[in-house]
Amino acid sequence: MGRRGLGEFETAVLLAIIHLQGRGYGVSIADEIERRSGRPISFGAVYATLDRLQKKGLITSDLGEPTPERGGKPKRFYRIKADGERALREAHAWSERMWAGVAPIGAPA
Amino acid sequence: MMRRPVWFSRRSDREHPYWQLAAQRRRAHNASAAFYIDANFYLDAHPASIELGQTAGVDTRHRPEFDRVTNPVARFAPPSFCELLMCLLVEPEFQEDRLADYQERFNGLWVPRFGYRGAVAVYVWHVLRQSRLIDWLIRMFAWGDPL
Repeated sequence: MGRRGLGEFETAVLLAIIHLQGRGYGVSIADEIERRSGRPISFGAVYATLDRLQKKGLITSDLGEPTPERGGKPKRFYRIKADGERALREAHAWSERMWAGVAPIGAPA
Repeated sequence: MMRRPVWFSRRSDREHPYWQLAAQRRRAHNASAAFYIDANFYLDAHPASIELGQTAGVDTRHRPEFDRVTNPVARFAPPSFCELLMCLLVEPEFQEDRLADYQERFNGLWVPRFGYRGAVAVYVWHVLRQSRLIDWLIRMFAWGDPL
């Protein structure tokens, strides 16, 4: 992992790839994030993030079989690498450390 | 003679995804045009029986039983300038699958939601959004990671 940790959207994209279990391509990753987060996201931002994560070496991708319903064009499936899982664990641990000792929001101190 | 820019692929480069998609759309367009001429309206009289200068009655009612989708992906094809923009901004190894992803989104979500022209605008925005230029601008002005 690089000098900086994962951003919020990068974390969401990595988690969506894990949820889709190796069958995640651009459209399904965007749909998965929208379905789980319940808010609209930018389709182009998903690809920008996928490119960035691939450049950081956190994910890898390979082309599937061309299908007639896509006009003979293949899908690119994304998979998370060991470095990506490690980065996710670090981001989660960092978040938990920051939340430790904080009273639940809305509860009396 | 005008010199061709270096990024512009040759017309003879049949393997390039941009030209493959253009050829596919041209075939779909030709097929649908021929189909409409052949079957989507009827002449009241046989063309041979129409006198010179006489107008034949034409039944132009829509006939859904003749709606035949030759290629569902190409049904609402985005304009070629959108795809050219994509090919300019995306690395060649990612162009083919990404063009198909965008076309899937274009057909499945943007055209039904925004109409054809709106979908074209959304397509262009998202193609620009995925480029590093917008990331850089967001980082410059929002002072943080792009979302």
